[in-house]
Amino acid sequence: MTKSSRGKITLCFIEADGRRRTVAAVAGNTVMNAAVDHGVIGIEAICGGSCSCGTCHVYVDAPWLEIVGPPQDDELQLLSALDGKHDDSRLGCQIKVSREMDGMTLRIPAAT
Amino acid sequence: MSAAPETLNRPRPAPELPENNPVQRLNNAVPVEGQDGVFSQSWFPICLSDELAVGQVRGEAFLGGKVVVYRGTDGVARVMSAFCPHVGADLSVGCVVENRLQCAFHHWEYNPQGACVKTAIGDPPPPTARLFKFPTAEHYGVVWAFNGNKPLWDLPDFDHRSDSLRFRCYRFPEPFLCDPWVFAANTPDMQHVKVVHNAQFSTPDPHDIVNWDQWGFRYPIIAAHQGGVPIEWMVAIRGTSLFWQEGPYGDFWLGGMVGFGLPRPGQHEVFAILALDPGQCGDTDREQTLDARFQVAEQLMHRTINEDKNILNTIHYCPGTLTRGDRTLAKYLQFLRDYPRAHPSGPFIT
Repeated sequence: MTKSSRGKITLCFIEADGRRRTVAAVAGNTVMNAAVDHGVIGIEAICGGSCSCGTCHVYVDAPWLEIVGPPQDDELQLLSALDGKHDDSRLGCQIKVSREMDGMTLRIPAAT
Repeated sequence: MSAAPETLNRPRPAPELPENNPVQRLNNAVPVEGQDGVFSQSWFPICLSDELAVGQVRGEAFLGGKVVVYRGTDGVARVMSAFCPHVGADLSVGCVVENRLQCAFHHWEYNPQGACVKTAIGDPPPPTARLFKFPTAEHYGVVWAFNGNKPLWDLPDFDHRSDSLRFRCYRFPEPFLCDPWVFAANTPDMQHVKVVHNAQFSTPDPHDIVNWDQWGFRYPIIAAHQGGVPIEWMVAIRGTSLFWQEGPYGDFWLGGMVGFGLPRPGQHEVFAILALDPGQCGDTDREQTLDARFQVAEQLMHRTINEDKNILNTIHYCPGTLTRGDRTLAKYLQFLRDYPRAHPSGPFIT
């Protein structure tokens, strides 16, 4: 296995209109970074990743929830104020990408 | 000084301890002017046209250094680095000879391109004796210089069509204690427009209709301003240093353009231009109506800038926790992070 393929992680975003976007992500960066870097529609990331705006809301596909882990208090507080908050809601800026997330599917909520 | 006795006699409670102190200061920073030795490449106001008579030269602080601005007999205003390449005399204490600038120290003369064309003693002018010449424009009564060799964008004209607009221009006496872009960042900050300036928007926040281009943006504000005055303004920013607005204020069209000068890092100087259309001032008493409206406009300008002033003079701009309502502000801050910066005049203005 070459070094580059060893480091390659892909994430699959499903935009609100159903369009699938498979993008490369970097371990240690956030899911929000991957979405912004590839212009995924619906991830505005207004605050740039400081858990203050709630504009990088994603739904994590069920099989991946355990790997992603539960939200912290600050994130939970912001999520609970969002329209369209579900049990599988997370903020993309608070999910740090790891090797184990290769292939993870995330859905983007409809604009509110 | 002594506390009231009843306070002294009260049982002393345990000090209140912080429960949730932040550990890290969040800051998605914007580069400040002068950081890494470079400045944003924008048009900056240098002086009022009225401050520069034909045959006059003045010194002005710019980009942390000093420039001269002079007006030759051809009437053209030109901005150059202030220091004579010969041995460094300050040309602002020299004089203007036709369209040339003459150094006070040895009477070397510089042509409109900044090239030395004459030495008093008769030695051939060294071809290496050149001033740094800034692209210079005179627009609506203000002399502007561009930080660079070639402007990236043009100074804008008002959209309102009239052959006979009247202008009044102002240079605020005290510098404001933050970079020009900090003032510019007020325009995309719709929360501040409502809170600080108390404009009651008649529409939802117009984030979706902000019209962006490579060098700035514009958007409409339809609101009831203070005192219930209806406004329908187009507001805009060009680069890092120019605000512009126009549209009805009550029952007349009002244009405003404000340039933020950059004398030194961490400060800006406010140059304001007000414009009115005399065609809207009736045929009888036109001059009196114009004058009365200019007074209204001037009061509005001073009121608005005074509302911003204490905030601008004390802020440590640090975009830490923006929220959903900051969408257009966030986009402008990213525009600022990506904005071209350079300092080609650096070696010549200090």
